[in-house]
Amino acid sequence: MGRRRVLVTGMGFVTPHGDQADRIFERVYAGESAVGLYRSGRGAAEADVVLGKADWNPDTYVTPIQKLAMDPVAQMAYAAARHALAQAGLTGRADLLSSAGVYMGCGLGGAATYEQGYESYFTKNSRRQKPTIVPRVMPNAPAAHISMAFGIRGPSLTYSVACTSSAAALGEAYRAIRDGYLECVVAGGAEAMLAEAVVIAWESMGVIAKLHPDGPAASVRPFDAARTGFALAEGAAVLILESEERARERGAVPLGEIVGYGSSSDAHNLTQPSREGQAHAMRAALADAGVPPEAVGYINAHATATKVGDVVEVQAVKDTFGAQASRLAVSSTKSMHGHLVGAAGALELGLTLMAVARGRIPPTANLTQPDAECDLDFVPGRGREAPELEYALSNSFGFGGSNASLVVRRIVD
Amino acid sequence: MAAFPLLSNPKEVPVGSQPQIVEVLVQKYGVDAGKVSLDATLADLGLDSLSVAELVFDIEDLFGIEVKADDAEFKTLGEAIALVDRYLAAKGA
Repeated sequence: MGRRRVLVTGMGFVTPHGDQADRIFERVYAGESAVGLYRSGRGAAEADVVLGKADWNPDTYVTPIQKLAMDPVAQMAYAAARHALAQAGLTGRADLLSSAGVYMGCGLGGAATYEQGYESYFTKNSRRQKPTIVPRVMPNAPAAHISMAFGIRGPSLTYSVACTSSAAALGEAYRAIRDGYLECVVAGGAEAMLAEAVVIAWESMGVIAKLHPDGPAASVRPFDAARTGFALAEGAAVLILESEERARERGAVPLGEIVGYGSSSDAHNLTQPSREGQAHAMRAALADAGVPPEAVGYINAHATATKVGDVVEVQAVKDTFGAQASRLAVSSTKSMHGHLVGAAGALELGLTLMAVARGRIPPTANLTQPDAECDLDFVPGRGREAPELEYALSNSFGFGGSNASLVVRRIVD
Repeated sequence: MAAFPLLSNPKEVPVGSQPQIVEVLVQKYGVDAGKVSLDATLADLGLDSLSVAELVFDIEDLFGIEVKADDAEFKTLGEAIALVDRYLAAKGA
């Protein structure tokens, strides 16, 4: 069997911009930030932190009994999957879903449950703890709940590679369909780590955005000289990937196509990014897609607005795209939805797919004074019409030096 | 008041764990008060094995008891309430 085409037929999200895909894209395209200032911690450790809280109502998706065994990370994953399956026209299609797979990304698992469990143990000093802690905490719980809820009986896999988790899940799902192992995969990622001690742990790394004088919405400033880091955010993003044969056979409406995936490791440093490693992933993705650099019109950058990371990514883009780099549109939507860590790659690939389908490139918010070392076309402020846009690339680079790049194409035939 | 059969007439409610257990089921577990009856199994009320384990944990906290693993073999709500009442009686004795 040769390479098969892989189409995206559904998308579902739970994000700081809400849980309605079209509305999320419109708000991002308009340059509207959804991060806010939230009180975090307690007592002497209480502080206001710029975070991206998911804007959704779990009660419309899960019952109180379901919640007992579901950390918010699994609740969000389930909700996103439900939206994605509905858009794909697969709700209730047990006949088609029984042979499908679930490939999810998740960095930390049930972070809030972890924290509550530890707090209970260390404060009560008792061996008697809730029996639901383990199944709520395990990082594969989001995938497991999707499998159970929708009767998906193929492989249920979880990729835990920090900020690259869901890009890896999508890339591996794409390969599984492309190479004939599966016809359909429910793929994406979920992350919910705004628990107070986890937020403090991230702060201690010096990567969390400081409050800007113009307010929380102005605080995440990728590529800007005054950038201070990202807004840690929560949410889930799930895409339905199907073989072209299966999608056409059942009359599904394709939203876009995944055409290339590149994966690499820096083999360099746990937290410092590598220009070579990132370029390796982008080159591999382009080679896999079989398209030259000049075919790509837009990159949804990983760009977390850290001092080091943004510059390294700009250099890696230049290494990969050469002279074409200056003609590319490159934006960081993290400037508006924050950094969803294990769900970031899937949300950003979803936005990238919507960008090519609509011919509308989302912007980088808050970029008013670019860093001298960040000198690409970052689409500052508001989105840009690009009706000719056909191919786009989405980058995800994680702690541990794991990189993934995905290439998507507008549906043209 | 069929919607809340166990509490239909407060004067008839026996002293014991029943009102509080029913309240936990309705308030925390979202069980439909109209479905609550002593004969209903916990599965009938929508609780799977993990939820039942969590319920036992909540009940232990609520009444300050510790249910032995061998005793947690109840099927119906009535059996669960009777079990808790035995523990409460033993505790009071």
